[in-house]
Amino acid sequence: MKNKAILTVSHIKKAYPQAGAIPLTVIFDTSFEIYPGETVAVTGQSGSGKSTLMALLAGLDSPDTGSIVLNDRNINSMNEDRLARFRAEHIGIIFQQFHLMPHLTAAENIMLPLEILKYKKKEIQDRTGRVLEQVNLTHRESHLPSQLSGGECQRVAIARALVVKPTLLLADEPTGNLDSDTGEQVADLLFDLVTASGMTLIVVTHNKTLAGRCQRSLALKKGQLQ
Amino acid sequence: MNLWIRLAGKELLRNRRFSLFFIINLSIGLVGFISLNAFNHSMETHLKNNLKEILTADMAVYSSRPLTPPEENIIDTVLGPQRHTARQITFFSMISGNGISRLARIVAIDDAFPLYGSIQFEDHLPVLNTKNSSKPGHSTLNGPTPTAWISRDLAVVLNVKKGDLLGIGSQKFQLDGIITATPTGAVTSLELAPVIHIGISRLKETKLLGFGSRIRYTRYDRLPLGTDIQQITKNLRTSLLPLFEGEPQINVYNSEDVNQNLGRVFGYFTGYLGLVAIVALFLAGIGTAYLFRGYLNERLKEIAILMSLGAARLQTYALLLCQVMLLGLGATLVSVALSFVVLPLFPEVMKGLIPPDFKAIINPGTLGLAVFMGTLGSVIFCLPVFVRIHNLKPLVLLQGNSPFQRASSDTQIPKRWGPFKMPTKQRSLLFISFIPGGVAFWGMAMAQTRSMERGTLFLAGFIAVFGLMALIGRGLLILAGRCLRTHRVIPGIALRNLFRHKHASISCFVTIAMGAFLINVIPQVKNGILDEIRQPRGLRIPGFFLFDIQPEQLGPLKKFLKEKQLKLTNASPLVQGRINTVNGAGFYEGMNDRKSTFLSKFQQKKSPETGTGLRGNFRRKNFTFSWREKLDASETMVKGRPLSNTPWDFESNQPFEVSLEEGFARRFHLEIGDIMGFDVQGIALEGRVVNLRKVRWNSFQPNFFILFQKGVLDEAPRTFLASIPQISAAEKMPLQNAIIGKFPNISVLDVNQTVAQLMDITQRLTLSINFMAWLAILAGLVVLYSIVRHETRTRAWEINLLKVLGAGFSDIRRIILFEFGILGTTAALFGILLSLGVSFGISWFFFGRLWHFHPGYTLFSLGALSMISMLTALMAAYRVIRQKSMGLLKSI
Repeated sequence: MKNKAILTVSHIKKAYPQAGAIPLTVIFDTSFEIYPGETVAVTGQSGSGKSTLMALLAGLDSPDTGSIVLNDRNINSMNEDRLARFRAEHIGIIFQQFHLMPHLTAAENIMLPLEILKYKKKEIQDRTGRVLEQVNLTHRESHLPSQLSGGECQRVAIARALVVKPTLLLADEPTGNLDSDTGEQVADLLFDLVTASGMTLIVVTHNKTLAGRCQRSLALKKGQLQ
Repeated sequence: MNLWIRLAGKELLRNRRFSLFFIINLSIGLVGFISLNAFNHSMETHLKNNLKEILTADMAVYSSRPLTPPEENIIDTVLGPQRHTARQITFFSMISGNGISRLARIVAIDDAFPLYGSIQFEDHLPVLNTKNSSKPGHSTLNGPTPTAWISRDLAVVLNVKKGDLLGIGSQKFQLDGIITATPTGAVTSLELAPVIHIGISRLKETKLLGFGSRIRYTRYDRLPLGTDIQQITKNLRTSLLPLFEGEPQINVYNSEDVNQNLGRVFGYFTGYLGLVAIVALFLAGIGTAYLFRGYLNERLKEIAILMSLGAARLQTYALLLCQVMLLGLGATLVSVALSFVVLPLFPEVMKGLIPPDFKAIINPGTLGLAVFMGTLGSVIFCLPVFVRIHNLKPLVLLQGNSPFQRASSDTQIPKRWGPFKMPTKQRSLLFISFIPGGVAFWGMAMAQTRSMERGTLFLAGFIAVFGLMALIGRGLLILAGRCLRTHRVIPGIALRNLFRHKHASISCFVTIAMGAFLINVIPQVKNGILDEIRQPRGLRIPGFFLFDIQPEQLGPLKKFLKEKQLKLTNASPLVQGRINTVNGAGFYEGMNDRKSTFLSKFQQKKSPETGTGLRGNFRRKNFTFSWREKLDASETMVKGRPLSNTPWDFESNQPFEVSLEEGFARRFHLEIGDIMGFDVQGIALEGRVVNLRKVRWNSFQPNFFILFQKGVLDEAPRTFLASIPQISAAEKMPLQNAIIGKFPNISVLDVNQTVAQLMDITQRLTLSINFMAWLAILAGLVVLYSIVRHETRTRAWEINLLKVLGAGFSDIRRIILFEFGILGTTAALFGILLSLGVSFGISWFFFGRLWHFHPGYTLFSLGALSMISMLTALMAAYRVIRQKSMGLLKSI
């Protein structure tokens, strides 16, 4: 383990208001640290707060109290636009439903974060070409998501998350929408690429096999780490 | 920025159906507006470029009598020695040729006329002067032999050709040329009677210039290039005033005045058309916003993806703005293309009312306005929808948080984002987002009506109608909610759908109702007017209207007609005079002090006679007075007491009794009891208003604004107006010929011809207004289509469930038909009912209660709109209805 944590979560708490009732607390006073190059699984049953924790770590939502520090930057203190920029540069997200842009080809989907970050055209092409090779989809680069299989779509989504070389990769049930064989292939690919690049990976899953491939597991139960 | 434009373009291409509908919808709304703007601009340009030609001079001085030497001297002095002068005398008289007679406007001109422009002949030959008389051409009208030029229409009516003789009064004129265009006729060919040109030097020989003939003497002047015409006009008016002790008897006009007058006439008409076009655009705007709302619902996921990848919220706004503006631009291009089809129809519809050589074109200014309205307009329409993404967070993409997983492929915005369940800040934003649209609508209404007051009134009226329809729609939905317990399946489901999709139902209801209102209100007003012109209730319009009858001709004329077993009716004396004072103050000057009502203020604004400024010094003071033993059938006393039957005693020192037409009294703020000072042929007289009359002018009987007590005008020089009852068409021409054969100075107007002309104009004007109204309906149908399409797609799973539970395609179709049949019929019904009320109000207010109910058109539009609503809904829902339930199940 490295000495300095890449991600420090300190005493975060998240509750959602409910019409006519007291707010529903989803995450209770939670703290943990993640170190560079670590692969960590966040596990727990449905309703345990996994997705909420994932949203907080990705900066898609903000905690009511506490702080989340990534690369020495408190992501909760950033305004929406700065956070969007920071997320684009430092956090890669892989969704269960892939969430590809349906009207863009595989290559265009992968290029998108680089284009948003205004990379130069040549660099965009080089990086896209490389990740397409890494996910073995060079032959499908000009296909639309509707022309790809589920596994291929998730590989495009992985490539899109990796193309900016983020510090932290967050995966929300990355194999949840795939059959077991395809899911396994995608998981193999994901872990191979993470290992090769030395990235830090947090996987939110209730799939024990997938969680077992991570170096460490954080188990959530009713919003609290066990 | 390239990325966002590229993304915008790709998304629009992928959503071709949406893009196409958006463009079609907005272009329908824009086409009327763009066409009208192009027409207006072309007309303004035409008038501006031809002002001098239309007036035929830089300045014109009009008078109802020949100018006196002192007046001529002042004009000569003010205008300076470098002027060129032409003269014209015009009046109405009968002319005959080839055994046919016809009322014509005699235009007697000198050889200098026209000072600008030229008279065009059918044979394209020029008018010859003495120097080039050896060449082929037309001799001047003031040459050694009496010659005349007439229009092609008149030549056809009289069945004459070049060289034939035409009788005008006591002189015969040889037809020397058939005119195709004159500078004065460059604006409108609409005339009470066709024109015949003769030489001014020949006028005496006709012996038509008797006492009481209504003649207009015009002096035209052309000034050196670079002269400040406005300043010269001002100087001339000021110089002439002392001659008339501040009460001028002549009018001075320049080309700018011509422009203002013509602009005002076209302004009224195109202003109204413009307002209808705004409504069409507004309805199209509703459709646009609805379409965009549906599109945005489907795009929310992609926007969230972009945000999760690092796009700032402003960038996502930019992406959507880019899409809306691209579509707006597309709609602009389509509407401009459509305008090329629509625009040539304007001159056709308004033939006779606009210059014959007028060509409407789409100028760069209109094109710029179209692009501006298309792009910015579409953004304004869609602005309220943008608020829906204000709170969108990429959080929704995560498992367990996604609203996109809830229903069908048509993703739903969570209820907490619905407009009525939004947080306060967002609700405020939503209301703010409507402000630009409201301001733009208001601005456009003011621009169209060229008045802040009328524009605001229109906006208020529009909001009132819109709000009323929304309230009625809501009320009906509540009623539908109470009928939900019906045991009949199809009506039950249809009513439930209407009730549970309130916003969509009310939007459809209001849109159809507004369309129904628009297409009914103008025809209802028009029908009333046409009926009344054609056959006034309780009255018979005469066959002929006779004027310029000299007192000594009255007896012989009656005898002459009696021999032909005809009767001269309503012979009414006509005395010219002036109104100098009312209650001791000047007629116009004291007007503001006199009691006025809202109605009179409104009428005053409409009347050019009561304008202010420099022209105010030259306002009309000459009026025609008459008297009669008893009121005619076409007039009724509405206030006061009848005029005394006792002849007024000149020595009594008491004011005589005066009766006023109620509209005249309203316009000049006159009331019963007011003392009016008159000048009749130089004699000062005083009268007191004792009653107000309502006159049905469409009776075509001799009627007057001002009637005097018996005995006042007995000694005054006068002429007579009279009418002859209807006779058969075959008898008309022989009688007309016989009258002018015996009484050449009397003018005879064929009332049926005038009625036909008025009806033709009314029909054509209504046609153009209805065209705009149908555009509004079309825009409304696209709205209906968009809403139904959106609703059926969001209800796809529900429809599918019905199918799974055993409902056939025909059952689903019947549900849709029932649902939108009810919606379309009730909306059309209430729109029509409102149009009946408003048209009654308009007819009552502006046209003196000329309102007739026309059940045929009403029932037709009710049936047509109901059918169209059902068919449109069926078309919109077709894809979902025909889909197999398996396919739909997959999308859940």
